[in-house]
Amino acid sequence: LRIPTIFGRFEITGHSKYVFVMSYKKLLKEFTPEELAESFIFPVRLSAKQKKIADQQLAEAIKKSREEMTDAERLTGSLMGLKFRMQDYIKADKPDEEYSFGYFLKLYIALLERKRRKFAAEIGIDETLLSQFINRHRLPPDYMPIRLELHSNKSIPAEYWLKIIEKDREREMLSNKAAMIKKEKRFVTGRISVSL
Amino acid sequence: MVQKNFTNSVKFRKLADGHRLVSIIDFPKEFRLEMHLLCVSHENMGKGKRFEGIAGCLIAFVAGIAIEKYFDQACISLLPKTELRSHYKNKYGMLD
Repeated sequence: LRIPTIFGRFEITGHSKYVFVMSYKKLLKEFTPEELAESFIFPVRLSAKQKKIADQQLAEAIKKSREEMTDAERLTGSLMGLKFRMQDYIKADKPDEEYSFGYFLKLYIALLERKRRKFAAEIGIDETLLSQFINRHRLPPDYMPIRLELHSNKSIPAEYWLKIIEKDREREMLSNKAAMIKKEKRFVTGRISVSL
Repeated sequence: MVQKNFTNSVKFRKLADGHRLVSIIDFPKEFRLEMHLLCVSHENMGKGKRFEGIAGCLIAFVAGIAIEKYFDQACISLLPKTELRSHYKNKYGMLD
């Protein structure tokens, strides 16, 4: 297996013995521009003047593209971002202090640009209860993931919310584990003879 | 394998394994990720390539990171070699 490196500057851990150096000009002799575009993005060095022009052109293109986006496209992009972030967190091995059901719920409401009062009414709960979920003062009941799935028009499945609630419960339990063991010990009167 | 190296305000993130490599630079103020370098393994290049669309998958991977980070404002970009500019536009739908 061979991995080409451009200008020989990039080291790939564990693969360095297979790496060889190829320049863009040499590659152009071996492959067509189309084939190269399907295999590479080459680092490009620009002078200060060229960079300034490129930055300006890029800023204009981005501005134009963002202006042309419809509300539906914006919302789709936002929901996709939220969904990817939730997927990443669900896949993570351990609960993260930064993320919680409240974090994702707050983000969801912010991305929809809804007022909390209106959003609470839309999912049939009181605004105070919504704040308690967002601020982690209360764990959400079973109906919340279902209502959120329905509200998002099935864009974000109830399972995602449920798995995040599970992570919240896991974090809460782990933080109190020592105290809980102490408290529950007296109720366990028998134990098996082996330990894994 | 994903490596993260953070240097000053410029953030590099590399995804590298035996078949592909991509390096991106984060521009948080512009909600943009720039693909600084991308390459696929030798066996997946040219006419006799083993798998089609590896570079496209890597670009989609970068787009996914951008959307996760910047939501509806997300943008990915690259600085093309002049001869390859039209091919990136045709193949991946990139805008000028």
